[in-house]
Amino acid sequence: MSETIPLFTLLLLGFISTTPWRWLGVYFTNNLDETHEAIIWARAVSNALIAALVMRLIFLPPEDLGSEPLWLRLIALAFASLIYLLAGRHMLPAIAGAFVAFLIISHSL
Amino acid sequence: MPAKLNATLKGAKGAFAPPGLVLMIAFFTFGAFAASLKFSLAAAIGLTITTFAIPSQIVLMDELSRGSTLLAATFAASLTAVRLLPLTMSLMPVLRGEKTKRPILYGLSQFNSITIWLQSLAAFKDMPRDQRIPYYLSLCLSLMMLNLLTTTAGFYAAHLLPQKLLAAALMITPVYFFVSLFGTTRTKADKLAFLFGTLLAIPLILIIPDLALLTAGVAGGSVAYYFGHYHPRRKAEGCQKDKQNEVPE
Repeated sequence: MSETIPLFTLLLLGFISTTPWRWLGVYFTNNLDETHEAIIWARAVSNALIAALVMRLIFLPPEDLGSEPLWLRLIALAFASLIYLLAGRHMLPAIAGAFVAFLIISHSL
Repeated sequence: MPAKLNATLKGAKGAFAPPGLVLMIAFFTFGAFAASLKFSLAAAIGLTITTFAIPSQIVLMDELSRGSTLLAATFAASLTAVRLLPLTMSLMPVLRGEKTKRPILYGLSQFNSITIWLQSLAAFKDMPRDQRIPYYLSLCLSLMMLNLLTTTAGFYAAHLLPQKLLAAALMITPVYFFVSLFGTTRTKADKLAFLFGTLLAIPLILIIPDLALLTAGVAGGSVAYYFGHYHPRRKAEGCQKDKQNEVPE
């Protein structure tokens, strides 16, 4: 499937799915309140969608990620969240910790 | 002039602060992701240039590789990027100089993403207005250049790494998204959206894998908006009215 999409089309799709939001952001600066109902709704949808994306990568992973069992992916996710909270909400240790844990457990299987 | 040059150097240095480093790791895994889904290096690099928002890039490639239509894939990628609107709205007033023209702001907004937003707002706190655009532009261009390299490195790494190491590297993508959502949601509506999106997605992925993202996003986000924002606010207004009614008595 990936080979059948022309390069230019793919790059254009990437552009039109993000840039209009940035331009609208400039357009609405000073015209619209950030606490506008539509913006709060849109942000909630966007957050829920990214949360759903995480779940799809975990439960229905691409082939190379799916070589390891589901429970290991869930453990990595939980472990990263735990480190994030314990390490004073820093992202770097959370990512590094989950990476190392995933690697160690997958090698000892 | 030296002050502006100094701001430019600071911006380049800012690219190596923790948010920038995390972004580089994320773009590395995006490169590996693109290779693992059999996209070309040109597609991976090109998407980083035209899009520069990892969640949208991943959604787009993931949807397309699962055989979604171009419209559905773009729609899902676009909905993940709505967050750029409020981010840009809050950045522009502190970024612009007194004489900055609108067309320039449209151009500058092209690079805005959560990492750049975080890093810029932190740096702008004690920075004179005329130095902010040089700082911002230098930060954006540095991160763009560096991440073309990390995207490329990730792409080739996917072909070279042993399978278990590649799986661990790819796992960084969901971990990064999950923990950033975890860390950046402040309001009740956003927190509920994170929760409902996660919980709704699991059954939906198993029942309707192709439409799971859109349905979980729109339904989960809307319900979260209702219970996290709309309903509590209406209730608060209702209480205030009751109190106002009670006052005369």
